Amino acid sequence: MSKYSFIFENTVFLFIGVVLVIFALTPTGLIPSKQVFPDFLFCFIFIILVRKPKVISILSVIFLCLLADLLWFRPLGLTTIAYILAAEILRTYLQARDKIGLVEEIILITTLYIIITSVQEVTKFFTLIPSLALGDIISYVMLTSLLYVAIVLIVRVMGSKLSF
Amino acid sequence: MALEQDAAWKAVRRFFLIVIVLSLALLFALWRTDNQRLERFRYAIVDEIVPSTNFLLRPVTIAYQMIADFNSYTKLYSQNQDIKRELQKMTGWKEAALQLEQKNAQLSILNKLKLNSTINWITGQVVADSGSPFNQSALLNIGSREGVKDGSAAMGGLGLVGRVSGVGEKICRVILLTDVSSSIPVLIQKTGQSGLVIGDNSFNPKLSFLESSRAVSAGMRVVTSGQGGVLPPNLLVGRISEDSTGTLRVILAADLKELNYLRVLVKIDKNNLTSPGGLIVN
Repeated sequence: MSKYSFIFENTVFLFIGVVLVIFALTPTGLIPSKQVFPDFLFCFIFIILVRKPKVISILSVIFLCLLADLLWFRPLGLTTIAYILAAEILRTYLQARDKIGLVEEIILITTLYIIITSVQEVTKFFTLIPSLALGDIISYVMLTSLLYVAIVLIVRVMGSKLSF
Repeated sequence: MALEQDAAWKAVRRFFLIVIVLSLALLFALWRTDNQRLERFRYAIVDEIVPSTNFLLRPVTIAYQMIADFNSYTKLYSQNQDIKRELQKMTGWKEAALQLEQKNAQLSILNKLKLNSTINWITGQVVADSGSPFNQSALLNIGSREGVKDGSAAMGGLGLVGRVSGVGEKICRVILLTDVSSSIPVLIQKTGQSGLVIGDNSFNPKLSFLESSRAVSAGMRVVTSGQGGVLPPNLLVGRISEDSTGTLRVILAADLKELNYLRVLVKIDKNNLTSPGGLIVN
């Protein structure tokens, strides 16, 4: 892989990520929604990471997560730590394998997401940061996992790996 | 040789990763302990990014508005009927209000009452949502240069919507009453009892810490008490209701669904001239 292709793919990854972070800020009324919406940024980062573990730089992931922390008024650094550790676990797991199956990918990512959300919520609890009710957090995790499955299925059915 | 290089590269990478994770942990600890400084840094960044990326949000906002407008058109007939009915009621109320206004003015003169005119308002447009389901907040396109201050009350059409928490130069963030971190001291108008309206991410926030919950009933008006000095007193919050579990809640007076603009109440600083020196210009 050439240096230019590495820079180009990371730039495109960053561009799409930044657009996703900014799109989440779209004002759609102040009414609290009955249903929490899934985390598109997580799905985007991890779908690309599973497919291009050697291309996507850890610095790009840090930049996107910190930008989301800043603009979405999340606790600074907490989600970024969780995402980076999850990304590194995923990278180490993928290094040991040549190819990853659909079911394996879904189980792996869902497990990782449950773990990182739990770690964040426990940290919030001990550092006295208010958070959602348990039911809302569970539906948030489930919706994000379902969104991930839907996107992965679409990508697989279309028969193409995500390539820039 | 290649294997050695690979092992060395892996060790460097691992060290680099540990440094990053520790730095981020330190950042989180700093944010939690010295919140003010990092929040100022956050607002400086939001101040730069949000107004300049607003063009990206415009297509999505317009599409959302079109869907909302279409939904509104389908309800046009029933809305029209409701408005006619409301108008009939309002005509009676208008007459009563005019009479009360006259009476109030007469009584104020009799009592030599001096009204507090130090509160003004600035209207701001909602330019961005919170971005995450964990927060119920909105960003307005007004900031410190317009005179907005931390803690100012944000009003919808009729009632309180939230309070300003964080001000940048061009933007400010309003934490809604429905947010989990929002607690507002209130007064039940009829009984004079004080309590707290606490957000729990639901449409109607909880009414807690009342002296006696037996003395209140559904429909009573809830206003801000002004305790703590953050919010001015007597701003309408909503009416009391009781949910299926028996928990007291407040139906907000402001219609959050229709709000694109919010009024932020600001206190006018009166710089009294204490000496004639202030008027002399060299």
